[in-house]
Amino acid sequence: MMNGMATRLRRGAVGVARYEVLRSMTPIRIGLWVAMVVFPVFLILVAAFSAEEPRFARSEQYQSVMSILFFVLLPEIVTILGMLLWATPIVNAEMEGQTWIYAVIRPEGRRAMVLGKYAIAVLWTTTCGWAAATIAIPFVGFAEPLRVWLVMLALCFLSSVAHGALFALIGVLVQRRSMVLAFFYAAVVEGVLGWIPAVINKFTIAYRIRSLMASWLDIPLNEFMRTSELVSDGVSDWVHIAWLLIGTAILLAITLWRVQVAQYSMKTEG
Amino acid sequence: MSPVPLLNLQHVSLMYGTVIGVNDLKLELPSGAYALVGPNGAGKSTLIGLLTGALRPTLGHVQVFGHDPYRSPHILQRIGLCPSSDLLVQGVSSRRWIQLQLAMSGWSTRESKSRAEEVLRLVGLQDALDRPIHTYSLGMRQRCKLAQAIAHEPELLILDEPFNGLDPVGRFQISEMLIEWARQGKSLLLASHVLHEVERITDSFMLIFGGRLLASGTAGELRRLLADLPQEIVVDSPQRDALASRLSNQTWLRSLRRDADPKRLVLTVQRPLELYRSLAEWSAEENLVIERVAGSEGDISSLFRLLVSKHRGESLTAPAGVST
Repeated sequence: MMNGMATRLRRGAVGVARYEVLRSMTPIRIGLWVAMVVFPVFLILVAAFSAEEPRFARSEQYQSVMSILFFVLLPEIVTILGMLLWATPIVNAEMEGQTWIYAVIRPEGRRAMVLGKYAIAVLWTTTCGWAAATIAIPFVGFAEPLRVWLVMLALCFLSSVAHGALFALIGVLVQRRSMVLAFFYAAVVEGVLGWIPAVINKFTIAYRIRSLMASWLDIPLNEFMRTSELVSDGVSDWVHIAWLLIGTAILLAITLWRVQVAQYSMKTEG
Repeated sequence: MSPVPLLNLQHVSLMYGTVIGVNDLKLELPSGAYALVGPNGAGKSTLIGLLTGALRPTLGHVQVFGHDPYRSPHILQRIGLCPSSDLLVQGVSSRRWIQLQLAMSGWSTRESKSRAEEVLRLVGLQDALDRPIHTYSLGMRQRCKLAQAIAHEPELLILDEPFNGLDPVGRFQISEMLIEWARQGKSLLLASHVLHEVERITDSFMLIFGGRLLASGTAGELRRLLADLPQEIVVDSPQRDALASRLSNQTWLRSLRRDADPKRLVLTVQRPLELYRSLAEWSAEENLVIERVAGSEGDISSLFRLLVSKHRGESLTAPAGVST
């Protein structure tokens, strides 16, 4: 039975993902994807071309500032916005379209729906960050553009899977206004607590992604950053990666359990 | 060993906060075709939610094919549901949508492609396979919903108000499909608020109202049950006062009301057959003119009012009252 369950879940999730890709190919959704690529590229290029230093002899400080700008825009803002749009309404969008019932009446339908939509949300959002990084990096004048590009690809992916799992959980826990709650969570926890110089920021995704960026791009840490623990110092990169991936797995497991036992109120007539 | 019943509900109640969805349902049904009849808000969709594992009972136990559909969702593989809500899918063809439903049922991509086409042909949508669902008529969307319900080859088909919004041709076509389904020996549970719509398809009824199962049985059994219940009957006569006077001392009359129509009396009678016999007698012997007698049989709201009265234990032998 477990084998049958796993096969059904795999086929269901793949079916949902294929269906979601097909549904994504609309002018509005493609336009939204393009907008989320163009907006960070525009800001990065404005910053790069307004720098006063000569383009091919830029200081280490300039490179650090631009790396941080890439980090704030791509693995943080673009990814969080993308996941707010695609991962949070996993259930609510189906409820509003009166199609959730069709997932409920399949043995693995609910979990397949969540996994398939989560996979497409990760794909959709990660590719936004990847495309923006690919377009912007050649114009910035990094000393090691390939390295920055690879780091941004990795950070966009890690940030997408972690934020996606978090927002998907919020989406299945809260039936209505889940996007508002996810936005406040992102703003308060990731945006504010993540930057508080205290132990609590270690429990945020932002802290782990930030620490990986500082380590992989050799961002010079000043004394304040070092002592206030805004970025980890001396901790293996694998600890951060494991923290993100294990955290993602735990969040997804809770999401899948919750969605299977949830009794969402659906419009009924009789 | 007795066969596993199709449905087995033991003292099932479900509360939505402080509102009762269904109340102390007890039911055991073998395989077969059944109609679940009740007015809007009676609890039909809640009961269907319980049978498909979408809802968990607050009290009691629900079993379909011997398994709890909430705790053992694998049993859903044997159930197909055609829900009452309209299909509001945008920009996707019925072929793609049915393929998604089959994928969620665990079918491989290759299997689901051929099966989707097959089942859409079965419901008569072969000429619109690749048209977006949002361009379909209501009847076509209903057939598309029916197609997803039978696509994974279930043993029990549950339909919630399948005739809603359909024109007579659409109703006929869906009815024919369901009759054929039942003829193949597969099980069927058909929820509707219109009794006559389901009478063509099955002879086994369950009447639900206020979250309670009021009665179940064949049409004949329900008619016999009705025969024991007080029923509302309208009688038109140009000699209305004489007729009222004649009726007022009958023991089987529960109430009598003069309608705004000067010829009309609205009666509640304990034993309708006694009334019919008496009217014939008075007409023949006393030249009392009776122009029209209309009973409540077939009128679902009257039927439910009667059954609710019985269910509440209201007296069925109250002395006749006359009101004007």
